[in-house]
Amino acid sequence: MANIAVARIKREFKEVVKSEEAAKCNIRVELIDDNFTELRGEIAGPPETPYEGGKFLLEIKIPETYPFNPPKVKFMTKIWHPNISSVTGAICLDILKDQWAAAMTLRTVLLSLQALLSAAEPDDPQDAVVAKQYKENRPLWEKTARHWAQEYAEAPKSKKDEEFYDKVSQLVEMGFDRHRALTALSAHEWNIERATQDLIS
Amino acid sequence: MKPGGRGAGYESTGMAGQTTPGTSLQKQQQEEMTEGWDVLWDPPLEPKYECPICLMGLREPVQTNCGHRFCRYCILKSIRDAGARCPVDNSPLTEEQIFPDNFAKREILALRVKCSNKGCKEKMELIGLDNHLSTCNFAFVRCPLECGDTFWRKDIPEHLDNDCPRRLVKCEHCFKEIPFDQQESHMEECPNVVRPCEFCQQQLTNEQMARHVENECPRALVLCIFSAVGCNVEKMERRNLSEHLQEFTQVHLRLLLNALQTLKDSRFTHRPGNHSDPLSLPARMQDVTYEHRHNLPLTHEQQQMLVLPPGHMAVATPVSPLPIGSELPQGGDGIAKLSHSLQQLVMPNRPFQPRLGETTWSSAEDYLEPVTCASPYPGVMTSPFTAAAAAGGAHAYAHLEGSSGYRTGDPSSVGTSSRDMDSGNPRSEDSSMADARTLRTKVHNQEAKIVEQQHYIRELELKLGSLQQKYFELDERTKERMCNGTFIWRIKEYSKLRQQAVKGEATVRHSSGFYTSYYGYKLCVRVNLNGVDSAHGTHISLFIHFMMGENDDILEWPFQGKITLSIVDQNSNPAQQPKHITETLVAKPSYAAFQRPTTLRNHKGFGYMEFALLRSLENGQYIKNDTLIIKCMVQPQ
Repeated sequence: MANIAVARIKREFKEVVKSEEAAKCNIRVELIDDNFTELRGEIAGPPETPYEGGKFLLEIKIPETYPFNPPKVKFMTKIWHPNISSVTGAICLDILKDQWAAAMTLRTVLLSLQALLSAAEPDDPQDAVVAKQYKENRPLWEKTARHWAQEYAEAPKSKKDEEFYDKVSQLVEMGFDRHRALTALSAHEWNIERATQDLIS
Repeated sequence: MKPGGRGAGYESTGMAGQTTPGTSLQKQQQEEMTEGWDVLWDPPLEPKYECPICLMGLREPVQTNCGHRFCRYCILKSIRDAGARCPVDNSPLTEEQIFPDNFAKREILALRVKCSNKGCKEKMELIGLDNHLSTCNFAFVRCPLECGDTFWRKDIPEHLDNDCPRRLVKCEHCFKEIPFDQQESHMEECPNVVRPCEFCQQQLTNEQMARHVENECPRALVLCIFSAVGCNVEKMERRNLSEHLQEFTQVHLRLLLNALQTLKDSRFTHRPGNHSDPLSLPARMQDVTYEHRHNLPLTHEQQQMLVLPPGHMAVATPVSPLPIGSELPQGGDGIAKLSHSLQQLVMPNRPFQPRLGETTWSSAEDYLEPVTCASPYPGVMTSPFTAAAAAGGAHAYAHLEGSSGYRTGDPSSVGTSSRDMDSGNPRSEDSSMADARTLRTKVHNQEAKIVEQQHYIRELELKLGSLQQKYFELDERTKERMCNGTFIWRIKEYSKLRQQAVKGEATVRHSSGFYTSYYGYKLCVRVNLNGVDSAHGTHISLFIHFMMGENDDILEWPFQGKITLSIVDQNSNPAQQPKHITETLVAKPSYAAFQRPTTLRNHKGFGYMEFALLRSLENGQYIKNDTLIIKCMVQPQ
């Protein structure tokens, strides 16, 4: 990798490790290989959001042309969010695309993603199903997003969410894959029949 | 300097393609080529002095219209690679909308930094870092004798004095200076080292050894001196040689006779010019006898020679398979006589002729040289021998002696023997044995003399070689020291060297060293034929480097004075004023390039990255006969 990219990433890595946010366990980054071409990021679900208490892992790939081109970032932890694909984890965020600036760093990227979790942009969606639910039935979206965070991001469970677990279990007992069952239920307002139909077709 | 060049002098590192972060304000060009300062700031760098792109200290800071600061290199790269916008706020930004922020630059160069070398505790302003690094005791530097190791600068003197395998040490035997690690091999060669002879254990110097073994050592294994003619006794100690010679006298003489016979035969059957080689005698003997056995027809020339006087029939007839009745001419006559005398040697009861004993084997061949015909009688020594034949032979021999005036080692003995022959008084067996012994001794002595002389010649050759070497060195030295600071460097095979530079095989060339005066500073010129750094591919780069000289300790440092670098216009048209490309620079005492060299060649040089456009060199004016001439004038203050 180009010298400037490596030198930058080393510094940014230190910057994250030494940052206040890292001290509060809000963001974290670790190395995957010695060439600094791939890193693993982690952000905490922001308070007062359905993601609170969850830990979201990110795959970060550094291009050769860094920092003149943005890093390639996607969620490795499954998440229910209008701007993040529930299937692939791809993120729709301007600073990771055309609004990237060389002055941005790993730290600012991780903080921007945290901000995205607090404030979704349903009008510029990545996952249309989630965005529709977010706009039309916000309480259900919130409950679904929280359920996903509990299921995949180790967010603490609460009693009132048990209804969703039962529904997932029912479908699993019918022989469906747990993740597929959860996705189908989430996409069909937790209606078991429609979810089943979707799974069968 | 040249059209399109920049005005600033440039300090460069000595190694091609390698750059170390410099600090001086004047090194603009180099600084523009890299990102920010990666140094240990103490106290830590304030964010306002940090480049948002490389996240290091701003180098050659520039400001944008929108109020952000970057390294010059970083922002230009950003605009070129990522588009015309500010990397901080994404507002439109072109190269015209940035300007140098010299205020920030001055402040940054005045910030305190720590030396990055482990062990060094020094702190200084950023501007002084480079100077410090070039003298820092804790910097790792390579051993100047190129032993391959690196050390803290402070440990180098100690290393050179005590450790370096390449340091020169005096040989205690010959007092020559030898690299430490070559002492062992030197011991083998040192002429004064004393060793026991492997044969006789006598203590001798290396210088004496070869000669001793070859000529003198009584216990050295030698071949019998008659091995050349077929004595196949195993190698023996030299002291036993004389005994062997004594014991085998008869055998040796027979061998000698055989060989001589063969030689004659070969003269006879082989065309003139087909010179005989004593070592291949046995082989030739065979092919000669083959020809005779089959009675091959003789050439006209040969037949003409076969006119033997009647007296010789007795010798020739009994064994010769050749047509009888032909006669040997005068020369062949002589040879027949010679073989005759040899026969007498091996027949103790016949008169003896010591004639051959005067010469060594090889000169025996010489002796036969003028004779072009030979008698073809293999096995002649077994033939019956009559007194008449012997007398006839002796007579013919004497005749040869007189007619050809042929040289002999001992004319008196010839005289005596002729007289013996004439008077028909055959010698006793005892005296012939004694004569044979004298003969052997003489052969032996002569061989020894030849070996001795060859030896002497070899020694003379060696001496001549080393004298020539010394002359070249002296000549070289005179040139480098007598140039009075004006050095002309002819770079021959320019296009080849330039290709190598373009391909990156050899990007940098250094001239040989020269002195500003006999006791002056020593320098060399360095050229990058394809430019270096920002001038890469566009300009020729020219620098001077100071070198360790013999008088550095009495000279004033740093060097002060004027240096003029030129590329010489070789256009010989007298109508045109020559247009040399010339730049004169004044030494700046603060630069590392002008400090007293601590390595054979100062790593820091001074000169011009963009001395001249490469394009402009190619119109034939500056390169003639594929040679580029660089002139360097150094005038100390």
